[in-house]
Amino acid sequence: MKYLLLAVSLFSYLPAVEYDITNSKVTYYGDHYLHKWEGSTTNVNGTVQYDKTRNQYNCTVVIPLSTFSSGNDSRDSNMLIYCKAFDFPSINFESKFIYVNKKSLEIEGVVDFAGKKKELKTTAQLNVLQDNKFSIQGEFEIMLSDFDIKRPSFLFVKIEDSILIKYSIKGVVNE
Amino acid sequence: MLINIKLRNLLLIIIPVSLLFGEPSTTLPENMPLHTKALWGENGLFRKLNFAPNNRQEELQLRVKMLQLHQKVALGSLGAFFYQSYLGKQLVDGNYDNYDRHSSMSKVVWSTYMFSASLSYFAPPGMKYTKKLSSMRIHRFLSWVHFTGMASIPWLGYNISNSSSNERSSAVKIHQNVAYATLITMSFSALLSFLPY
Repeated sequence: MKYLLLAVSLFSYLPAVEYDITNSKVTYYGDHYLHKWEGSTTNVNGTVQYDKTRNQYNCTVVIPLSTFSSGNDSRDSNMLIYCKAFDFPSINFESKFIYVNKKSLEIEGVVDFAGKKKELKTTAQLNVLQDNKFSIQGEFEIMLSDFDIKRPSFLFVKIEDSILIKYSIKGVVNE
Repeated sequence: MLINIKLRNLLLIIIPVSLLFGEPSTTLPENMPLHTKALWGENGLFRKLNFAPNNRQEELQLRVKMLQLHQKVALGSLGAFFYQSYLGKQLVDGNYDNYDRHSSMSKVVWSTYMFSASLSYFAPPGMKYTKKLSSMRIHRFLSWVHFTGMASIPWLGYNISNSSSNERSSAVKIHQNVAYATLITMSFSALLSFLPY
């Protein structure tokens, strides 16, 4: 038992770094034949873990839907209903694989949105990667129909199915 | 492996906590418009009459449906109002062929307008109302201008038929000017809803 406890405590001191996501921003871009609009949030929560021994990164990102603001209160209220925010209040992303290149990252994972999970692949530009902080940015597209989200209509015409998501994620080491 | 388990356990704690803070508010927004507060506030009329849905989620679903219908009916009403203005201008110019049509169209325009307005004014409150200037805030402000105009137009029209021959031209002028002002503010209000902000 003693040896087991000793082994556990030794393993827990193996080199691993955890970054807290902070000062980050996610913006969505919607499109309708009458106008385009965007909504953004800086309420981006989560962590990035780096396992030094395996040289492997993992991340989890949580974004509350109610924090998105498009500058139009009525649209933001309606968005919560269409995105089923009362049943599924957040968009969650959990990485499966992160490959770090010199100036970019290949990220694969699962996004959980409106009660549906979908595989996601995105390439992010690597702005900063240091021992105590990181900064990345990138974009990807989602289809509302992939998440069974009913598209709202305006003057008899529905909004476009495709939504562009741009992200700027920063993190500082959790000490 | 053990590190991964530790991190996973940590995430299992972090994620539910962040979900708790991220849930849409089930309480009413603080700075909702006065008329909405009177109808849908904590002691609002619709709650006292038990007209209110069971929860905020259902209220917001009802709001979406009411505002979607408001858009469509208002657009139809605006189109009818343009046609009605054309008919009214013909009467002012001395062409009385469409007198009956102008009279019957006034009922169509007025009733569709009031139906559309009630869908907007009686809709449950949204999730938030910011104080920042936006197209929707101006849209809401202009609604009170064209609502006042539309409410007075039938009475001003009635004044024309009851006016003496001396007063008729000024009664026609007032009716026409109020109708034009209402049409312009209503059109501007509709255009504002096409703006992204």
